[in-house]
Amino acid sequence: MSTPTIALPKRQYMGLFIGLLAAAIYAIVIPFVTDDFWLRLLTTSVTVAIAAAGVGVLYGRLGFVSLNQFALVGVGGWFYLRFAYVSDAIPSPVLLIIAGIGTMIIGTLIGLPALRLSGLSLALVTLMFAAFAEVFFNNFGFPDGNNGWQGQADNISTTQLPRPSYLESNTSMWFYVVIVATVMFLILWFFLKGRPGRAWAAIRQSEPGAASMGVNITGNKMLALAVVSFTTGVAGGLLAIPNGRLDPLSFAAVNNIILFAVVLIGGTFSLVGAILAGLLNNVFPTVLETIVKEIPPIYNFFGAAFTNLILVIFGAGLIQALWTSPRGIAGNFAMMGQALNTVFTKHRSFLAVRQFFLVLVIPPILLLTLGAVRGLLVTIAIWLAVWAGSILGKLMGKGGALNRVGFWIGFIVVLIIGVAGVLVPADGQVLGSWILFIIWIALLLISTYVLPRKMKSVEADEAKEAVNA
Amino acid sequence: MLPYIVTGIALGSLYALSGVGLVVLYRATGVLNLAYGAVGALAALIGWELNQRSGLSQPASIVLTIVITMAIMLLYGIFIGPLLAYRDAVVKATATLGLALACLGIANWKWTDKGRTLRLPTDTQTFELAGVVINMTQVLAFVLAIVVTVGASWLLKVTKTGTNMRALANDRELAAMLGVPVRRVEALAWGITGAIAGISAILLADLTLFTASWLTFLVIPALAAALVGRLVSLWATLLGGLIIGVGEAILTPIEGLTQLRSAVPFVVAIVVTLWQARKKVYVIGRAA
Repeated sequence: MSTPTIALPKRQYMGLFIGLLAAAIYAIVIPFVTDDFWLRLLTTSVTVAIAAAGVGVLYGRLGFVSLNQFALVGVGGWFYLRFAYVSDAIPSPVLLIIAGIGTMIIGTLIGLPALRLSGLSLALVTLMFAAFAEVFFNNFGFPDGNNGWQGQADNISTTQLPRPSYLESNTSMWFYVVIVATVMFLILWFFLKGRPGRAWAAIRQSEPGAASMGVNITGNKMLALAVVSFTTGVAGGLLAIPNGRLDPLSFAAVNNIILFAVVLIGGTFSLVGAILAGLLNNVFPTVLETIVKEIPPIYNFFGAAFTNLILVIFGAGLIQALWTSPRGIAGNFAMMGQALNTVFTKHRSFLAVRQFFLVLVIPPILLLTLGAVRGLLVTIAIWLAVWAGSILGKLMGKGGALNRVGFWIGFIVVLIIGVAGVLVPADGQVLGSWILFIIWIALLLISTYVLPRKMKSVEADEAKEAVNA
Repeated sequence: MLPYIVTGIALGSLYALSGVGLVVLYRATGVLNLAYGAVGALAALIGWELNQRSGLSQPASIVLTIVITMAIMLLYGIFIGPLLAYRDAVVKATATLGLALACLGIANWKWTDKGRTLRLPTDTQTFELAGVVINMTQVLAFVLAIVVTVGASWLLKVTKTGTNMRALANDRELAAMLGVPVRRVEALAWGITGAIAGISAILLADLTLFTASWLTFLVIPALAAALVGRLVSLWATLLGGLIIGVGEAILTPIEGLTQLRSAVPFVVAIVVTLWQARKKVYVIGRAA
């Protein structure tokens, strides 16, 4: 009755190796190039990325719309704080595991009734839990050291759980979060690449078909909910550590919907998409605010609460991602890679090397030499240039010399525009960002509407993605 | 206890009213519109703004609210609905969350989350029944819920339009082939649901809080009511809404349980879902 096991091909280990290497390199580089404010923001982003990965796994691999993942983050944080006050002697990693297990139980129990019905029931039940959680946290608050099952005397105290001594500095906090996030991603990765992942893909493709193959439908669905709830609970614990407390206001029900939206925009099928989702959720609003504040006319027109308008972008992005395919921005990276493959088919070694250089070597060097903002912008300029080159190459011909000529033309032109826009003017940050943004939108439109579109249905696409990715 | 029950019935009627709007749209298009509350909230805020700041009369602002809600829902249904027409129900429902986010974003940007009050003239018209003071707004809510349920039931079961709507939800291509004016029927369904949403938004804003976030998430008791009706039966939805409203109301004066009253929709939904899951069924194809 056991499903046949297949040896994992080397390609997937390659991806794992590059992912781990990238995590290590960026973990080390980023504290050098950012100040405390941005480092704390990035730390929160990576924490949210863990929750985002969970949402992505549930939707991308199983088609589950789980709208309570951020509430589960709160549950994880609640467990972490509650048990942290039980005894000083419990080390932080153990607390994280406790938080994960507690959240795992609750997350699975919530989804259990809806497992046998259509996915719509799960979406509705989780949405209702999200709303309930908002009221719960607002009324009962988070534990702050008092007795009783809720460990809360009143809802207005501001006691802070002190950080463990080895996490005093923001840099060490950053490393801790990156390490835990990497472990969580590894857990998800192993489940995805192993038997459960294949069972989930089979269920996604055809539930009756999977059942007839002997796949335990309910068991595997429960397993998915359990694993994702565990990792999300750990994320909740991580969220509670920096300030030693959690604010109930952070867990408004709408944040669950925003999390789902940014995961779809960032990309549900890859763990890179999860990181992008975390950045969109936490870093993007602040970045936008900083940029817009530098342009007084726009700032005056929109007023101080304009960051709310980001929700309009997220809403539109959610609809767009659901309509086309939730490969998201991370999918654009993949498309870029695939397009490069068609351009440089003869140079096999180039394929591995380009990933290595484009992701692991060039960006850190740029970040270290040019500083965080300009380094990041130049990195984006280079990626956009590669993408533009691959699009132009594809437009110009199916293969061979014409392809490569097109690539180099596109690459060099966009590279010059992008880099010049960032480095040459005095306020290159603002102007450069706008130029890169316009280039990105243009490339997005060209690649979606000008390049010949495949005539597959989106569902078949998604199912194939779930099996291959 | 009795005053709370009266409030509960009034609120429950509004949950049922919203629920009926949700179910009508779902039965006609397969879209469970989770942006129900958000669109209504945005329109109500616009109407309120014009009424308070620009001197528009209140009846006019009420009509404007309903019109704006219908317009937004119609635009969504005409432009975005068809893009997702052949996807399954979850995807269609999740897409409406995008609309909800957009409406919430605009509402919070212009009006932030400050509370404001919406007062209807029927608020001050009260009468006494069995020692409890009841105002006409609550009566209006209850009466409207019944009227709309009757009307929608009649529409869906008896009229040709209703049959067209049900045919559309069942199999869009077949319906089109049979000569059902698909786009027009769809637009009608979205318009009707928009009108109901506008009315519920105004009444809810009057009877509860008038902030965008609160009104947006009042879609949840409405959803629970719709789930009680299995997304099919309008009368069961009405009953479900009333049960939830009264359930919440009963818990309010009880010390210690009052904070859990927001769990009532959740518990009702779980119970109903568990009850429906007692038969194991594999869903193949469209889940209409």
